[in-house]
Amino acid sequence: MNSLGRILEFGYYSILLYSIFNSILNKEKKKSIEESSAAIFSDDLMVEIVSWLPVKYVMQLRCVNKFFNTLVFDPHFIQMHLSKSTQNLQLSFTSFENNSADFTKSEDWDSRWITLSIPDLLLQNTVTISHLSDSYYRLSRSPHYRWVIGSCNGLLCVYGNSWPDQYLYFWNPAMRKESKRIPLFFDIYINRNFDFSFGYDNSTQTYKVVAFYVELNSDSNPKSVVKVFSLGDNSWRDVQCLPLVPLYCLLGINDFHNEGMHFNGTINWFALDDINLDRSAAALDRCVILSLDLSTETYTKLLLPRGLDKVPAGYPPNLVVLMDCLGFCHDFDKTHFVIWQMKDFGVQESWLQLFKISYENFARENLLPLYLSENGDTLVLGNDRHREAFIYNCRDNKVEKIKIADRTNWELGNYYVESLVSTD
Amino acid sequence: MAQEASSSTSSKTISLKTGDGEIFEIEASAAKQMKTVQRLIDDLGDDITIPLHNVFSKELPKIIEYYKKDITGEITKDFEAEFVKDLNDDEVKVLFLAANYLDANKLFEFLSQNIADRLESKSVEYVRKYFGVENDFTPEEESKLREERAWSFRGIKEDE
Repeated sequence: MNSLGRILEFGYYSILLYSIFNSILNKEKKKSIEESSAAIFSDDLMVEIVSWLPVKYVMQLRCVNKFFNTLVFDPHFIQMHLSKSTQNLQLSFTSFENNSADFTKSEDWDSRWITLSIPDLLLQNTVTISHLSDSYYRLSRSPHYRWVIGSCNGLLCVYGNSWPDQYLYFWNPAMRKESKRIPLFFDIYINRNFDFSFGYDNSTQTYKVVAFYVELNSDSNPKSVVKVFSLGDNSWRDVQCLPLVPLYCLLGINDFHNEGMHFNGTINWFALDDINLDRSAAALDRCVILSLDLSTETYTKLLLPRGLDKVPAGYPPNLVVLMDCLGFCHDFDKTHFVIWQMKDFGVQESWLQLFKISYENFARENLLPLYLSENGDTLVLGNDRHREAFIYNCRDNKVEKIKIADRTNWELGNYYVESLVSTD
Repeated sequence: MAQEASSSTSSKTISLKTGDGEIFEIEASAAKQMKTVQRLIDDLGDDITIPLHNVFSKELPKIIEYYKKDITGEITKDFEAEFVKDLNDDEVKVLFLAANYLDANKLFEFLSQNIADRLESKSVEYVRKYFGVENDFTPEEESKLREERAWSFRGIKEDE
């Protein structure tokens, strides 16, 4: 090839290259090629880095400049941060400590909100508990009584009682922000069959708390009053009454594990399909899952797996969320612990019996599954009545007991991840 | 990411030329992981030396080293820890910006996390310098903000 040809060819390629290059640069908004120095970050790049930080450090960096100060309110950034934060899944608990000699008076128990890191537990075999000594995370301290109703995307919903006021409020503990108090529409000491549930409505992107109480009259049908409060609203809204009474109301159990379970925009409770059944003799085959859709605010009844006629409903099952599916666990014959999973929400045929674990390794009943690893190999279980937690390895059927806390009693909560979700 | 090497790229190497004129070779399957490079290859063909104006001879070999491990599926937490162990904050910054330019997603994500980890223990002033941003608060505004967020600056030691 002669030199002129080579020059022309080179010229052609240079121009081609340059124009392709330019069009690539223009298309890629995320890249910033600074002519002067390669060591300068665009906003997008800084945001990318900061979205990996725990909330506490994001809050520190708000002092950097005005851009960072207002970044925490940007919905896109909040979502970005949340999606990364979900990798650090935690379990939340309430820890109780008694500060007087009298153990019987519930008013003398202080409580505090604490969390346990799941990755640390499963990957590094360490128990990392946060906030155990930080007074900001205190919940109840006589005469103020508080408990966490639920947790969703880093936002907690809390019931508070400072006599005579009873209220709810929203709390983002990572950002240390609390909403104003929302007065409750009933008195939990008068209407004792009540429930609070907290969840997220995907369709309107709203956080909602559902509160109800049920009046069980022996002479007439049960009456329920159900209301919803959406974050951002100013008052409670009435929704349809419960078509069925949740099982735990009928059994007279005031155990927090039987409250409504939030799953993917729905709140779910166990219920007997016929109110007139003898509740103490009924079996699970007469139960359904009553599911409230947070976007339509209507109820559906989900059928349980077949063949549960031998499982007494009086020893109540617990709803759980494991591996992004709704499921439940129950005792079998007082010898085994069974966990079911509904692979497709609302589809009866999709129920799968995940586990049937013998109690012999635990020497304990009243277990609650807390977390199941993504590969289905490792199950974390807890029993808060006896302050125990266990890691069950499904492959070799081995159980390892974990020590959680020494001096305190604790009550299991739900999943928690840090986030920048706002309380108003 | 499992790499399905087509017969035409299975043992092919691509030449990359840095902004300071040095040439490095990488395997075509590794080049696939850097979307910018792959786009240039798609447009120009894989016989030509691909020019990378904003990547220099200091950082490109390190990037190549990372993706060499990636295509054999050998990237582990230990490898990643070792990979950045001896790099100072500015060296990681340069690598990060290069990964961004090359659209090398996996390395970009890893380095984002690594920089975030490094910045956790640093002061607000350090972060400003590192990011190259100006403080546009007045001294009064800044001290008020710091006061409001004093809790986030405190190192709270947790007991078990």
